[in-house]
Amino acid sequence: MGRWRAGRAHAAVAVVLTAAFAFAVGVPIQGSDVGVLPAQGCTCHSDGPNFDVQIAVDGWPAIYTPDEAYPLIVHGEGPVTGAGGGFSVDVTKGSLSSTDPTVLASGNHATHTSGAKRSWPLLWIAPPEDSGNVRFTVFVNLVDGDGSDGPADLWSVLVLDAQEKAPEPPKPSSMVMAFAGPDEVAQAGHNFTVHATIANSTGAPIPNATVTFAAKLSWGVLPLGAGTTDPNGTARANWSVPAPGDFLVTAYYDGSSKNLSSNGSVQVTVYDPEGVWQDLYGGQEKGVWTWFDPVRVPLGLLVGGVWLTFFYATFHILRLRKAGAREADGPVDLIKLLFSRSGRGRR
Amino acid sequence: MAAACPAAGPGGRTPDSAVPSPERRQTIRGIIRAGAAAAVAIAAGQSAVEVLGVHLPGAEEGHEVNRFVMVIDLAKCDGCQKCTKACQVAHFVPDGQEWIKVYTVKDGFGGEYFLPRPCQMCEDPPCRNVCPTGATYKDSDGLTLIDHDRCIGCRYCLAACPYSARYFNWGEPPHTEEELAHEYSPHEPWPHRRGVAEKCTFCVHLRAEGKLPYCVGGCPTGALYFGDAAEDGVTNSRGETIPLRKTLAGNSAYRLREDLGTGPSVYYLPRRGAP
Amino acid sequence: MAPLVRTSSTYFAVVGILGGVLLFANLAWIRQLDEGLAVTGLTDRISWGIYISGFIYFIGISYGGTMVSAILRLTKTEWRRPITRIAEASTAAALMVAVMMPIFDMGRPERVWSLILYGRIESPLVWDFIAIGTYLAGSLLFLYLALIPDFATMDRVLPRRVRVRRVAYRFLKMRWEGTPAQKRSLERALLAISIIIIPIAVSAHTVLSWMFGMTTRTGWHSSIFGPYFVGAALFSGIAIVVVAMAIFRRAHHLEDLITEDHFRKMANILLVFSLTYLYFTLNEYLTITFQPSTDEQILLQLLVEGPLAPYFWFSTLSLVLVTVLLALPRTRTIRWITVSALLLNVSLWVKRIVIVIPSMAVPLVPGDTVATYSPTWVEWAITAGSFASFCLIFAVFAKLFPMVSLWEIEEGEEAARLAAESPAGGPPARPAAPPAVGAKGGA
Repeated sequence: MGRWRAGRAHAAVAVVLTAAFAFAVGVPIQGSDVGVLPAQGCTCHSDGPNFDVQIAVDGWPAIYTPDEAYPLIVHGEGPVTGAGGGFSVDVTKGSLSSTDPTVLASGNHATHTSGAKRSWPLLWIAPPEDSGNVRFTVFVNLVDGDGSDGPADLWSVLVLDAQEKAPEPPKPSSMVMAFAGPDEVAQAGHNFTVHATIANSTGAPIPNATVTFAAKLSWGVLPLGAGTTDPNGTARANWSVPAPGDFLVTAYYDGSSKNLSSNGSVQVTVYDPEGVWQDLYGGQEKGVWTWFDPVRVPLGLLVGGVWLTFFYATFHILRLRKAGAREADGPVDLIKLLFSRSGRGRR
Repeated sequence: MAAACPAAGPGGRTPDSAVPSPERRQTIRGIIRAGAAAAVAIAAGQSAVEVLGVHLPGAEEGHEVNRFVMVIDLAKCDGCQKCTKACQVAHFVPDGQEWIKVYTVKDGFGGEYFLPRPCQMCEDPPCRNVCPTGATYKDSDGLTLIDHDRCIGCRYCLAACPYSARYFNWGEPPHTEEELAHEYSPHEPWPHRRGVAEKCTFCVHLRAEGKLPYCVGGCPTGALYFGDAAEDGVTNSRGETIPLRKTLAGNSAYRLREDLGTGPSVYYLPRRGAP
Repeated sequence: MAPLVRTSSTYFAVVGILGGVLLFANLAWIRQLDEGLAVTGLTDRISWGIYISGFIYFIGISYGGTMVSAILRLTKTEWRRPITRIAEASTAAALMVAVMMPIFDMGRPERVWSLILYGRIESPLVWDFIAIGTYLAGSLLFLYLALIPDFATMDRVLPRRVRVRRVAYRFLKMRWEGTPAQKRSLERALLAISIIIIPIAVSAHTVLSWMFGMTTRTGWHSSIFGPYFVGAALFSGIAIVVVAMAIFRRAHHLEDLITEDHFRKMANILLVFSLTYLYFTLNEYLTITFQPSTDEQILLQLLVEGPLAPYFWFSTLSLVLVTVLLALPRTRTIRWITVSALLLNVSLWVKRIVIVIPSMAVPLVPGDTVATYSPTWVEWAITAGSFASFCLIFAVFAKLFPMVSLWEIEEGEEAARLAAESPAGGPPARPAAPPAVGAKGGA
């Protein structure tokens, strides 16, 4: 390598180059100088960067969208005779590729295969979300074509940054819940299914999202599990209850960076044609008192019969009274008897 | 009086002194009427209190039926008795009564555990079966409640309950201003009065507010769960709602004195796993 | 007839003492009304105590009248004649006291009328109310029927100065003259009531036993409870009649009418029932002993060695003792039979406690303890008052009507005389009116 030359302007470049070196990833070391990371530039050709060399990268976004593919063209111009040159690119994130046979690109690095031109197409695929800033460092070397790495070959370096595009605020999503059971009727004691379909703000279904289902009970919320939405944006859950009535099932979609959360509910009317509830809990009036009912009447008759005997006896008492001789024993006579002084009352 | 009726003999004149005066006839008629009414009522077996049963609304969504159940996880009960105290405070329960009582049970393996026992709200309650006046009745939601305006204090229900879940106001219970200011109803049975039977009500008065019973809500470990079997879910003080039938089936849940056929509404989850 | 017009100082003394006890009992009752049942020793675990066991006891002794008067009448047993009145009176008195006992036990006695207005026919307690109410009505009717001829006698014979009672007798005798037509009516009525009172009595006590038998408690839930209670009732009823016989025999000088033979015959009946009752008791407790179930073992332990053991052992051993006393010829004298009867009554009163309380002491919930019960002075006072009122009712009866059924005795003598005079069975002479009461019996 060339000698390290100190100097203020060169120092700045040196910093840049050092930084570039620091960011370099896995550069293949090959027999030829092609593809060698020019840690200090393409110093095999000339000692330092020459600022007459203009490097441009067409298509480089200042703000990139994650996962998006950006076609780039790296080219260089300068006071070097001929049309040959080379380049070396390092990018901190994302991946590089190219269909051009003169470009060798993979991963974070791209370079030329032959030195016959001064512009090279690249495809950069932006990294995924949350990757942050990306630095694109490109060295372009212009050669005069004389076959030697002489000082007439000039090179320069360009560093470009790109920021990740600020995520769009998530847009509202919507959820629609529906009940769909076997034959559209929910029965006590049998499973029934509820659906929840979520769509984004444009109305397109949201697939592969997690929707949590729950049943709203009188005192709490019973978790019914979670489901993943299918390509139509629909998730399903099962529930069964032992009683007829109206039951409320709710669902909740937590949202994502793109979609706000949404929820929904559906009231399911459960019927009980088989009498499942009655079998389970319907015996609220069971026990001995169910057979007591028919016994009431005979029992009443029995007790009534007993009292009839008393009336029979009373009847006989009255009869014997009637059969007796008339006596002064009416109320008036009795009272007179009560107050008679010497007891000489009428007999 | 057996022989109070005048003798109007066949073919004979009725002596004037033997004919009852009109007032007496009225009284006799009244007595006979009352007696007949009573006899009919008793024979028909209809107790007016049966009509008293107030139907509580189901969940807001409108269940047709209710059956309130409590699930008690014995693995979580630590015997702190906060359930007992919460109930006692909220209902002004007279001294000495523990409508939900926590028993300490020796488990036969050298350890002990705690068993909270509220009223079991039986399907076929012996207390209701023996009550002579129908003061203890089952309302249309299946809850066994007491009408203290009707109770005569015979304590047959205390003798009949197989769970020792009923209590009696032997003397006049002490009152507070707050208790006395409240209007009595079988759902909120205070002010308490002497000479009547008392017991846990499953906090039926909290039902309309959607609140858990005081014992369930006051349990610090969430050992008590409460809910409606029709909804197949029970909730504890921590807001954890568990599916009812699955939990009962999967944890070998049992009820007390199942052999008696009373059909209690309180299920116990035995301790399982490490002590 | 003398006791009806003359009152001895002994009588006043006895009534005075009984009245004193009754007064004390009333004070206790007032205190209980004032402060509630908290003045008793009852607790939420043992909520029925000696009021209820006393109730069972008094219903039990009411069987005396039924047994002697009705059953012996139907079986045409002649020796019953001098004692029927005492028997019927004891039934009526016992029932009158018995219906008071549950009222003492109620938490809200002012609501007793609710039983009629709101009674639930499904409740064994209401069955009990109906049965005992019917029994009380029946026994009073029975007593009255058997008194009609004697009312007539008293109306005729008593001196004029007993005005108030004469007014009553005049009305109550229902113009009895002893005519054949009247006799027929009376006999029919007596027959009807005699027949019906037996199933009434049996059902009354059986229904009472079902109040316990229909619960699920160990020791109560036993199918033998019906026969057990009826057996004990027959037993204690006869015993009370024996005691009453002994008392009135001495007090009214009825030695000629109520003889040693009567006592011995009653002792025979007592012996039979005693053996039957021992048999039932053996059944009851032996089957409990054989149960491995924890509850039954706890109950047994309570009975045999727990705090209630003295009651259990006393009632069981005294029962055996009484059986022996009744069987041995040496102790079949009037005095000893009376002693046996008295001991029997005490024994059966204690036995009722042994029935009611230990079953409530057995814990029902896992982890619960054995409960204890200790009656307070209020309960003892009211219990003493119940005994005092029972005796007082007798004392009052003794002043209202003769304690021997004069007409029945005469009827018996008449029939015996006629049978002796005309062995061919000629038509008996028609008595114009019941003959005046002779020197015999002179009461």
